[in-house]
Amino acid sequence: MSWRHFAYVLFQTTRASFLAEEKNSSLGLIWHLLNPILMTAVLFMVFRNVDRLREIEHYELFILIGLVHYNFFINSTTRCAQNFLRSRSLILNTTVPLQLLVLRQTCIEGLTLFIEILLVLVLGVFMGANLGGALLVYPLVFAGILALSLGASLLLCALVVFLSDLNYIWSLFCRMLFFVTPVFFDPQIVGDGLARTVVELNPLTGLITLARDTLLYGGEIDPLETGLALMGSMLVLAFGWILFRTTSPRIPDYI
Amino acid sequence: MAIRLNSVSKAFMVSDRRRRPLYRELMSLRNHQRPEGRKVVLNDLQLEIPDGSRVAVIGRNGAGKSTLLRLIAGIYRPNSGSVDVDGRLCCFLEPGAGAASALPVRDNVFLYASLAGLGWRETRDSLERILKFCGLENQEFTWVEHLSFGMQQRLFMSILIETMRLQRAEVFLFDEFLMGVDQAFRGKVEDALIHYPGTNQIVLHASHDHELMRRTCPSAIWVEDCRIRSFGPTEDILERYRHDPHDG
Repeated sequence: MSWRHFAYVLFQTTRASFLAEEKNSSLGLIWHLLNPILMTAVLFMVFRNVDRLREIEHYELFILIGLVHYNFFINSTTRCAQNFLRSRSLILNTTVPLQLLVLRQTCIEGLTLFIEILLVLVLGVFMGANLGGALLVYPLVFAGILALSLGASLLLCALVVFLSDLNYIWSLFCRMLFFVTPVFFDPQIVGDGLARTVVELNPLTGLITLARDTLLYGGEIDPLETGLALMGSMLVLAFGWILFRTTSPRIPDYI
Repeated sequence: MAIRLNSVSKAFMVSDRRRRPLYRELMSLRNHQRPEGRKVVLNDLQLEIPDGSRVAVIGRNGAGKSTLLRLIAGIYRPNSGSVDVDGRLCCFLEPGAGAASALPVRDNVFLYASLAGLGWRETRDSLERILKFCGLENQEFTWVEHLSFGMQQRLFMSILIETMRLQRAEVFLFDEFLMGVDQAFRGKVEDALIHYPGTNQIVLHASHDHELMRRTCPSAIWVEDCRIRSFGPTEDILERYRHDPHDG
């Protein structure tokens, strides 16, 4: 399959999956906006009076930006693994490349993230966020989080066919990840020690921090920090890609 | 030679050992149970199919017909040996695999045609012909899930026939693709299968419908006991198959 036709099949399958999902919902796209707004409202009400968090400027937008990126990562990876297992008929009866099934889910969730970022920008304008030249760096953050999610999804799909408990393990991992990802707190308040190391090693930390700098606070963007944040994503993508290529010939035998 | 199988073998792990919970793996280790073996489905196949062939694949249920087609399609990798296919593939191994029944007919034509190898422009230009072939001219915006099974089959089959007509694939693999369709549509598809394939196209068709095989495929492969028992003229193969004590 040529790259051009691969892209066309990806477009058609992504479009079909997205429309089929939307068809089963009365509010459709509005859910993608309501969900993070309501969750942000809850987190804001719970944490707004905590001393170190109260000092954060535009705390509600700070949470919203963290939440949409974190949600994108867990939704795209979890749904990708679930849908991959449900694609048995497609895998066994068509010659569609298996990578396309992983990419499809990342694209669907990427579209959702794009809509949520538009919401963040609209709210940012109304709430006086510092939207300036730094905004131009955001596409890099978007590409970085897509790469990170795609890498993790490839990794999961490479193994989920062989390890029946992986979906449960990943679900547990995602819950723990919430508390080591700076969704509602600033990484600076964690202090030193093991917790700080774990938060800093989390590839989402650099991307979310960078997303806030570009979408909310403006100012100068440190190229080194940007490079490090993107490098984590690229490493996960490379590892996921290699593992998926290694196991994919055996997937149709086991699915 | 467009399809060549050289010493191809395929075995599967027995279903009980696939994706079982971790605790069952640990229990079987504790009880010193030996892992159950593999089931050999096809063993040491040698096969060469030249360009322009229309070949029926026959054999009893579970003989390995679908596995053979999936090996040729590249869906399964052989455990040993090699499969060489010269040309683009188009598969119809399960009705509607990859289609989105929650979407309208028109969307499904574009989606399914993309999986079959057609681009957007070709599909747009062929849309009317596809809908006319399957008898859905006025139902472009009807949801596919609201169509009967037979009409869905007609739709997907029409897209593959159009792919064949436009020469957008060289190797066509079908597995019991005319289930549930009426005689009129069967006749149209049989005509298409006889007249459309070009000299560079190969059609492999696994089915238990011997009359259809006789009419559309000049040669046949008989799969039995994990191997290709015979490959030759369809009439001869069907005659031998009919008198076989296991399959007749």
